[in-house]
Amino acid sequence: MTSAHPPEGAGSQTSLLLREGGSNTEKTATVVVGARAEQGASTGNGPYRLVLRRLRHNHVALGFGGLFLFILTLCLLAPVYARYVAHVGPNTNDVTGTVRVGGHTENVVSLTGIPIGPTWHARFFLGADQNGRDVAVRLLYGGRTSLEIGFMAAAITIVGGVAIGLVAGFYRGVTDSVLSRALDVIWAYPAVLLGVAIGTSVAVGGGITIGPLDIKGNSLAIPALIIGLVYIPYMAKPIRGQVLALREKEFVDAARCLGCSSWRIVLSEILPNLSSTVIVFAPLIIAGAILLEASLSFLGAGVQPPNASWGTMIQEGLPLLPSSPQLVLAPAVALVLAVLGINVFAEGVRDALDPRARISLGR
Amino acid sequence: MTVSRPPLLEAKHVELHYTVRNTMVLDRSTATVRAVDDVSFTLDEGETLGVVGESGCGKTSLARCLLRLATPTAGTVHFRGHDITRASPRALRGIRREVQMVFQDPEASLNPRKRIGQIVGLGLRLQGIKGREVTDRARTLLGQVGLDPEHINRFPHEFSGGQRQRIGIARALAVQPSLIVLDEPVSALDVSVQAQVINLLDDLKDKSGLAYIFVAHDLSVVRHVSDRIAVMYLGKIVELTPAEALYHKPVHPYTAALLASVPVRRRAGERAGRGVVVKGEPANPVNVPSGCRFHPRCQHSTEICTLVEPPLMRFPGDRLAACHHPRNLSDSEVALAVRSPLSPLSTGGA
Repeated sequence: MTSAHPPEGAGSQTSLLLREGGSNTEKTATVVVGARAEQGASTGNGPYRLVLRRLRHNHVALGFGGLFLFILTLCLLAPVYARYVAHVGPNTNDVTGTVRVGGHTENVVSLTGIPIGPTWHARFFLGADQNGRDVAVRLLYGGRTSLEIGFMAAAITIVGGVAIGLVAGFYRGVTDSVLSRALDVIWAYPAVLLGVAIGTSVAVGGGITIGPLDIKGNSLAIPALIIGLVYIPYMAKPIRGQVLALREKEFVDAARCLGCSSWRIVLSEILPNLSSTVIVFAPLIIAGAILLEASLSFLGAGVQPPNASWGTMIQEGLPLLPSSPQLVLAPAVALVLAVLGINVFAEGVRDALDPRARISLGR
Repeated sequence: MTVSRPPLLEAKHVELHYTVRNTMVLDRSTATVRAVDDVSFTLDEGETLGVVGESGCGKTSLARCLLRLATPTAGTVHFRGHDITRASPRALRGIRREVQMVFQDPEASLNPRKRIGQIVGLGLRLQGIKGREVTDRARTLLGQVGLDPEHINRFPHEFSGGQRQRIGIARALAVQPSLIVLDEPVSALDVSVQAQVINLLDDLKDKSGLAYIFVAHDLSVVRHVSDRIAVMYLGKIVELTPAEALYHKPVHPYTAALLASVPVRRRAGERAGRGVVVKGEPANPVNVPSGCRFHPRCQHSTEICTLVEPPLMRFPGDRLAACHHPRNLSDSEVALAVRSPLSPLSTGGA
């Protein structure tokens, strides 16, 4: 009646292996200990060690990162420059003033209304604008504003995007549908158009009041809030996708077996795994936010005059472009260099983190 | 034999069906995948139950039901008499620590952003143990599973597959469970490392009296660790037999075919292919065959196999099998067979 014969050979072969394996355990263990001891056994190499090493070899990315840092430092030192070098504030008008250049006195703003060009001296280093304000001082202050807004907006985007992406991806179902559709609504508008729409309505309304929080119409927080909000879907979508994949990983099951609650799994098992995505996106969002801030301010929906920002400076200098191109050129070049610097650096970080990744802002 | 206390784990008619929805707007038809279909068994303290079957037969789904990582669509799982299938998350938390799992993929089962000490110590910290004691206990655990306690601050990517599996075992041991469900713990490892890990599991069992449910697709792996072995086919248990009896006298034709498919080293001149290697692929669990699910691939099948689903019969020697044409049994043994209480509810005949 036996149709299948018991495979004796297989059994004995495996048991032989098992016995050999038993003695191997100690052998491999000691070998491993020996090899590790040479490198200094106690602390492990974090997952970012290799990333930093790759990034260190990418001189182009580091150079552009340095350029951005240089611009950032200059802008942060704006008050120092205004006080000790130029001796004027960013909003000090001086239409009727005179300045001594090369031994003779010149009007800051000529009788025909054309402001003075670059003097290459401490005062009016890059010339003046039609109100007799020092362009160099305004450029640094404007950069400070632009970068501040960029960083604030990026912080809002990252916190909001990660929170929404985490909740939507982890809880799925109805929560996910509601949040994703809400993001689609924001995403359906071009970023600039939505920014202009919100920005103008807030500017006309003279500020926002959210509960106890009262933000004035000319506060920097308003453009930062608008830009941060507009970019949230760009952050939340990839985070959500990643969370969807991470929640099915076996280490999440293991944590659940040990008795972890859902919020603990989200915060301590899933959130740390999103760090590389955030690191890649953060500089891209800062660059995007700086550009969007410039566009909004140019269109009058961002930073409100007389506050300087690169966007408002370009807009104010535009009518005088033929006679005083430095009014537009100075902020435009600063803007391009800053955004280029951080973008190239971001690309280097992305390449170092995952050479195969294809991540970009926008669709 | 008097039943003084309930068995460690008791699965009663556990069913896990997944509904697959067609996402087309106009065609909203649904299909049901019967991953686990009416499975019952009991496990005693300190016992090792092997679960084998082809890929996709519901082994992992069954394991997930036992840990309530998936909630069964029907049936119950009792752990020491407590029903864990309907327990609230809060009530479940205490029981959870008693049952731990070791996963198949050593790559995915450890959080890449955490140090080994954090991974192994998580269970301890959840129990309210703090500070130095967590580190000390984690070091001891690493030593127990054959790793260097000095590696406590390393990250998972710095370890080999076998070492990672040891870390997974240490994590499970940390909460001092009485049952560990091993979901194909060695199938991702080299053969020599497989042997090491199996020996480790064996040693741990000898020391602490753990019970195991050892899921594998390879009969030769479970043979050495199991007291009893359950063979699954398309979501059902087709044979549940003490390990040695299963290897020497398989009752179900599918078990016989699985045994015959284990590669055998032959002496020179011996002809290959003496065993019955099962033909074809397992049927789609969405659309299971009528009667005995194995009949389209079975060389012994007759008309009754296509019509009536065979009940799980208990043969002398504590051998359980669901087959109309059991193998390797004498006529007197067949005559002594009785329908097992573990038999699926839908089966015909008595």
